[in-house]
Amino acid sequence: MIEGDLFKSLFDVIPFDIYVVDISNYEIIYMNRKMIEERGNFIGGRCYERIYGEESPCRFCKIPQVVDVETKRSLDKTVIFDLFNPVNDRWYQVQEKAMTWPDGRITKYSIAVDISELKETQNRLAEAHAELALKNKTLLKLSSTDSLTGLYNRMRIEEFLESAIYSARRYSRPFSLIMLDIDRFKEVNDGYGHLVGDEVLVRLAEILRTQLRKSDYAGRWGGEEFLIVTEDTDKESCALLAEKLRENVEATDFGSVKRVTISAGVAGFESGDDRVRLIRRVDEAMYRAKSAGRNRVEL
Amino acid sequence: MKSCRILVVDDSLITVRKISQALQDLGYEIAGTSLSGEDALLKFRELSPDLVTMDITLPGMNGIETVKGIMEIDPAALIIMITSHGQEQMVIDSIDAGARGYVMKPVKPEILKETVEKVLANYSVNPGSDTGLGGDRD
Repeated sequence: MIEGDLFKSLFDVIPFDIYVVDISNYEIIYMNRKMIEERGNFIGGRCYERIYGEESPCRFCKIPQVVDVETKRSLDKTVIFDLFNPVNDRWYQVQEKAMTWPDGRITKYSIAVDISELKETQNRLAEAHAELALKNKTLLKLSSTDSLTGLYNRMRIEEFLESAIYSARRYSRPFSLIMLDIDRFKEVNDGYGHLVGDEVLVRLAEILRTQLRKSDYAGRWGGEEFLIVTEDTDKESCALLAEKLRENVEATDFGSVKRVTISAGVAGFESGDDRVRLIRRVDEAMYRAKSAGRNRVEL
Repeated sequence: MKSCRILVVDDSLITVRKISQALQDLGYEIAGTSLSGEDALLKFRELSPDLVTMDITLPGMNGIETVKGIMEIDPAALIIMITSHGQEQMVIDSIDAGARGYVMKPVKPEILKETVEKVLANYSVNPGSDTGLGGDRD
């Protein structure tokens, strides 16, 4: 182990920042010439205050990694890590190890190499990765969202349906579907124009968003038709949810159109079901609601 | 400028002060500051900030776990990660978890300004786009 004066004479000529801290009280007991010239003389001060600008020992402090906290003896282990110092906005690669000071105190020495320029270059690489991840995310969102309503598009809701069928078969997790259709929507479009029709669709999507639970997935199935996949829900509970939606829509003021109603069909997954059978059943239930006079829910 | 209240999360006191000062100089309001992920979740609930800046390497609950926690509270939350080279995997994980942007350390005020403006312009609360259903739920 390098000791005392030898340590000083060796490290005063090294062109990196070097300092030594008493592990019992965080007091800086040595700084090499380069560090004093560049940062000022902090000897006698606390490392966390003078070097890192903290009010209490740093949360990243490596003393517990280089010294056995019970016995206060060196673990004879060197740790190397990258560290950002917010006091001077520089990046350092730091090497730290415990050593015994000539007076017997157990200390930790740190050699800090300024890697700010290297980091600056490497950061551009990191930025490229992050930018790519953000772009991917946007792309995924665009490709799975219905641009008018912000709900899932048909492709995405079909994927949720497939995955719900998979879980139902494999793990016996029940799920149900709601297919809902705006009543006499053609009259809205013909009578008020397509822009008003679009507003009705957006308003309805908002109702779905606020009324549905986290485990419900709502998508625009086609024109004025919406499909909702409700996870871990049997068809009776699902019908109650559909009824709540129906009431909510009926009670909503749709602006120039005033009142809008929906008809909804509900179907629960049954063993042997595949996507086509299930969709056919929920579609038939929805048409029963239409033929029974609209503004209602049918199982 | 529309007032925007920001929660600043970093385990370094000096960094919290510097980022807060830079944001105030840009005209933003500091809703609060946190030195840990656990505290950030409490403050987020309590203060409902419009935007959060988050250090990726927090002791205890790390930046990514904190992002996940915040997204649980509000799926439309706007979070910007403060990060650097060597943390690419964490940056990508945090973006997958819902973070909307990133700024490299050391934080340059002009880059911070650009990123905050971009995130506010692209993702600000707009019912029908990103909240709840049909948004980032996968």
